[in-house]
Parts: sequence; structure tokens; C-alpha cells
Amino acid sequence: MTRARSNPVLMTVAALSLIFALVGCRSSSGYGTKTNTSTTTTNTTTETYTAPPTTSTPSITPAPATSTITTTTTLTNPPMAPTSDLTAAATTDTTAQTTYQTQTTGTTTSTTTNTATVASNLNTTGTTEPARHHRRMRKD
Amino acid sequence: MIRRLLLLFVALLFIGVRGASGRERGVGVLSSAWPATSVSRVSEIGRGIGVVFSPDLSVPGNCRFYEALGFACFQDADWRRVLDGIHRHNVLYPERRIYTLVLETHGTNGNGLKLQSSYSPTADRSYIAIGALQELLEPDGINYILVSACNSGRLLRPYIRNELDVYNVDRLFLPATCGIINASPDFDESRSAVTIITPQSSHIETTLVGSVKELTPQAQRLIATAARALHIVPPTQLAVSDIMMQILTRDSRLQLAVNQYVDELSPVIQSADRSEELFVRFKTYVNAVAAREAATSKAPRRTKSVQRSSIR
Repeated sequence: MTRARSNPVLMTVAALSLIFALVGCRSSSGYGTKTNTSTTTTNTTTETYTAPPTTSTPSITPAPATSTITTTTTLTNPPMAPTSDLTAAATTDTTAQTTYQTQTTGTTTSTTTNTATVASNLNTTGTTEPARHHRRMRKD
Repeated sequence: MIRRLLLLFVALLFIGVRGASGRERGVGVLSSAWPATSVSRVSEIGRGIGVVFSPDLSVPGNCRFYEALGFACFQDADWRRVLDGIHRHNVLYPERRIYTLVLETHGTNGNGLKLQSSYSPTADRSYIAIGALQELLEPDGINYILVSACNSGRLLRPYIRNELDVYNVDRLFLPATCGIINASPDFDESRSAVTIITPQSSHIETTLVGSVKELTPQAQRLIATAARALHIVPPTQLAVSDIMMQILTRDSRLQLAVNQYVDELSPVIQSADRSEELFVRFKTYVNAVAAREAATSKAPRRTKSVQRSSIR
């Protein structure tokens, strides 16, 4: 007749232990995966470290120091041809006085995109054409 | 204590007012050097103004563009020939005499006004001191010189103002194959009638290259007409500096200084977008003048035709 009473403390402990067991399993499985990954990364790094003696030397040598300077000079001050012809332009005064105007006939050797844009704008025969980027020159 | 604070406040107020008046003077001088009159003709845009170009900061036929707009344009790597050209212009063409000169030249990091054909060490190249310009241009009737060169404020430093330092170690100070012009030893700039105007902040100036075809057909036609009237071939392209565009369009951000020198070398350069923005405004300005000219030239014709019809 005596009915076995369920102890609430014991029940809670049992429930908690069950939860911990489940969580613990999951986490342990997670750790397991990570361990696997770390193994792969270790392998990769080992491969990378074997390379330096051969690759380091050529990677430094081909970087020319002149590249930056040359580019800047070309962009800002495109070389003009030194030869210039003097074109006589008659003025309204008939008595004399011929105004001389220097005209540089050289072509710009700059290969920048800005120059290309300007050139294309000049070649096109249209009405009004918006140029997005014009060639700029520094006055330093 | 209160009295001291009051004195300090008054002193600060005085300094503030002085600073503001200096800026005012800079902006105010532009109304004398280049009055903002309402131009009604394309060929009158640059009336009274001369512009000096370093050949390597220009494009083929650039002077033709400026001349069509009414400027007097001088382009050479030798300052002597430029000065001679200015002198001849004001003597031979009194009706188109210039009194303000805009220098579209190099500043050599503020070590000398430089004209050059290219950056090649052997290229034609010459330098001039600010004091020499004042001394030599005053007899020609030049009242204002607007320096549009890099770090232009440094050109007015007392120790190089009249005589350039040829022993400066600046890498941009390339061989002066066409010579250096300095002021006379007894030249006193404080007595000169020539006012030197520079941007308020010393920095790197830039010039932009554009095409005449970017203007409206109306403006293109009027520029061509103005060029033919001067017996010159109509221009196809142009080089225009940021400061020139700012002046022409009366840009509110333009701040000028009068006879003020700066010591520090500035690497600051305006963004490309800002230059592009100014160029758009410059085109709008030229197009607007052209539209105005076209409208005024059509108006008399209409009046005449109306008169004729009324007579009939």
C-alpha cells in the first residue's frame, strides 16, 4: 500500500545530469571536428614553410624602385617634344608687327587613361561631349 | 583680474578683425585687378588681362584659345622674351592694353617662377624673382600680377623675393638654360606700384586640359569667329588652371592674399573631382556669355525687320 514517493531533488539531479550528458556529447563531438581541422591547417602551414628559401629571393629582386617615380612624372608632367615651330600669325595692324606664337608639335607619350580619354574626346566630331576625366598637370 | 580679461578680449578681437580685413583685402583686390563686369561678348572675356604660360603646362594652340577670348597670351621658356612680348603688346595695342597678368607657370616648390619646355635638364628653362617682375613690368603699366604657381606664397619670402637662391637643393630647380632674372640690388618692393596676388593657402596648383568641342556649338562658333577676326586659326583645345576657372566663375571658395609670404612648403593638392567640377562651371560660364552675345546680336536684326514691315 505504501506508494513510492518520487523525491523532487533526485528528479532534478537526474534531469540535469541527462541534459549535461547530451550537451557534453555534442560539445565533445564539436571538439572532435575542430581537432580534425587543426590537423589540416597544420599540414598546410608545414607546406608553406618549406618554400621560403627558393621564393624569397626573386620576389624582392624584381621590384624596381623606379616604377613609382616614373609613373608620377609621366602622369603629372607629360613629356613634350622639345622641337617647337614658330607660326607667324598676322595681326590686324598692317604696318608691321607679326606676333609669334609658340606651338609645340610633339605628341604626348603618356599612356595613362586620362590621356586616352582626352584623345578620344578630341577625335570625336560631335557637338558637346562631356569629358569625365581631363588630363591634369602639376605646376610644381 | 577682470581688467586683464577685458584687455585679453580686446586684443583677441583686434587680431580677429585684422585677419578678416586681410582676407577682405585679398577678395577685394580682385575687383580691382579683374573686375567682375557682365561680359556680353566671348571676345571680351579676357579684356585687359594677360596670361603667361610655361610651354610644358600648355597644349598646342592654347594661346589661340585665350586670344580668341580677348586675353593677351605669352608662351615661352625664356622670361626675357615673355617680358619683351608684354612690353610690345602694351606699346603696339593701346586699345587692348593689359594691366593684370596671370602667371600660369611653375613655382619650383616656391623657389622661383619657372618657365620650361620640358623637365629634361637640357631643355629651355628660365627663372625670375617676384621682385624682378615688379621692377620690370611696372613701366609697362602692369598693376597686378596674379601668381598661379605651386607654393606661390613661398616665392614672396624676403630672402628670395628679389634675388633667387641658386644654391637651393630643391630637385625641381633644374638648370637655368635660358638664365635667371633677379631684381636690381637697389630695388625696393615696398615702393612698387605692382601688387602681387597669390592664393591665400600655398599649395600645389594644377592645370586641366580640355577641348573646345566640349563647349556648346554656339560658343564654338563665336570663338572661331573671334579667332578669325584676329587672323588666327580657331583653337581646338585649351589648358586652364583651377585658379583661372575660380576667378572667371567667381568661385566663393577662392581666397587670395596680397603681398603675403608663406614659409612652409605644402604638399596639398586639390582633388581631381574638384578640378572637374570647376571645369564644368567654366564651360557653363563661357557658354552663357556666348548665349548672351548671340541673343544681343539677334535683337537688332529683329528690330530692323519689324521696322521694315511697319514701313511697308
